[in-house]
Amino acid sequence: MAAYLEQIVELKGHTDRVWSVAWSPTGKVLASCGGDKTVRLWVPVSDANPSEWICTHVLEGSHKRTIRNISWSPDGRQLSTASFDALTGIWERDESGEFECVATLEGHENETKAVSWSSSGTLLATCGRDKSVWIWEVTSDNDFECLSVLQEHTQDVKMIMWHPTKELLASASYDDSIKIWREDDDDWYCSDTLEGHDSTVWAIDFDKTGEYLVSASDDKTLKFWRCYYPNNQEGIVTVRNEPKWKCVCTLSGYHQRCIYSVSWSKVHGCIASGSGDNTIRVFKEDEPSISSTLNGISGTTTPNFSLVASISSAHGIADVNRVQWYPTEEHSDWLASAGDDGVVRIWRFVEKN
Amino acid sequence: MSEQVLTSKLINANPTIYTPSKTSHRVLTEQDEKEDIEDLIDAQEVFDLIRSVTDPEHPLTLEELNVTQLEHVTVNDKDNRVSIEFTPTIPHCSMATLIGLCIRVRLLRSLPERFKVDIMVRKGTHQSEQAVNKQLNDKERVAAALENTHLLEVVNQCLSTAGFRGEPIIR
Repeated sequence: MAAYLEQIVELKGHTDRVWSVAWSPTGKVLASCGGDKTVRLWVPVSDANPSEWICTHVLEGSHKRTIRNISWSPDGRQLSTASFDALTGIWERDESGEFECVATLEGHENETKAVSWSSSGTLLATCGRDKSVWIWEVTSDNDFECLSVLQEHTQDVKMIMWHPTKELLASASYDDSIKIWREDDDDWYCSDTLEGHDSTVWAIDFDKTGEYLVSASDDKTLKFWRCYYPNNQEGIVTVRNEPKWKCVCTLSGYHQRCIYSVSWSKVHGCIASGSGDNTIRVFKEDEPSISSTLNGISGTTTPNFSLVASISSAHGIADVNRVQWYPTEEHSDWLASAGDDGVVRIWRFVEKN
Repeated sequence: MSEQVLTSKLINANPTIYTPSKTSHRVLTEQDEKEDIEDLIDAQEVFDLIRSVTDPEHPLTLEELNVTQLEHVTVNDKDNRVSIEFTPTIPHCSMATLIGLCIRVRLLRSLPERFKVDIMVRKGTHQSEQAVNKQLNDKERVAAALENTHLLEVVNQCLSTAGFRGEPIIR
């Protein structure tokens, strides 16, 4: 089976490197942010013609430094921004369709590097160079109350990501580790530390079940981690009745420089990675072999992933900083990417039998 | 990266000064003079770009302090790779990160964008070699550092002599 990525459209407008892109929960809007301290919102001109897009909004003026990361609330009404100016911005769409900065969250000592909304929309997490992860509760009227400041990472926290359904948070750090955070009776604590990468972990993403996690690192590998619950049938030892995350697969040799981003499609399960070697790669899980299925051990064997498609020079000579799959069935084959060339691109992932 | 810049005390008060070797200057060949032949970027060119950067704490160039040397510059033009090893004057030099940052910024501004640049402390020449290397090659940290106006001023000051490319500097 052959597969490939073809470009649908390139979106130009940013005047500096683009650090991140984020599809709104319904996929109707693509947001991008970067070194020019703005957020841009992009939509296709018509549903019939996905090769023509316009920039409908430029959100600017609230951050004094680079906007590193953006995240939509699950209802798509709010957008949050993490900036090197140490602030997290909350933007809300009003009735006329305009976006207004309705709150700025202060607390981090310096660069805020990522922000993420929980699936329920009631929690927000931020992280930054001050090595901390903050959990915020979203109360009514755009009031955000800090519930917890988690300081167990020993270096910058590069990224955070909520579990797709549970109130469980994963964080990736310059200290080469990933940490899993859970809540017990209003107390947030680190329930597991995932060690194995040899350098900075830049990005993480869950699969749709939340039982697997993929991580991307400066060590040029992708690692897949699986959650094992207490008394699991595989006999993986768990501590203090906490689930234990174990690395079940490492993909190396596919990127020649740091991997900055990874996205796991919640629709079709393919994994895309973007790297400082200018390439985007797409991986797919192998079908379990017939013999293992016959032996009735499918599902308990360790997964393996194969490269199915690549684009070299996805952003010309520039690093690929972020990739993200379209969130819903409608255009699940679309992948957005952000590059150091200041351009956002949308690709179509084509699989041919 | 910024805190080190603010210390006023000299880290290495009496550095050894090296005389730049004359032979390290490029001798123009007939090929170089031809306009229709595209000059490849080579180690000599990259060394010329960084050799006259001023050290953050002495009115001396990185070449005069033997921090940078031609032999420690590796260039692969075809693969768009540049790798630079530099040697801090003393193993506990707290200026190492700043020196590396100056080299990075100089190359960001003067090399064609297609090049991917790795900057490392030469093996065994600094006590926190790994930490310095990691920081210098983390582009997010570099980007954040360059948004710090005070730090950027210091870097620009060090780079103000870079254009001399090994020629005597009139200060």
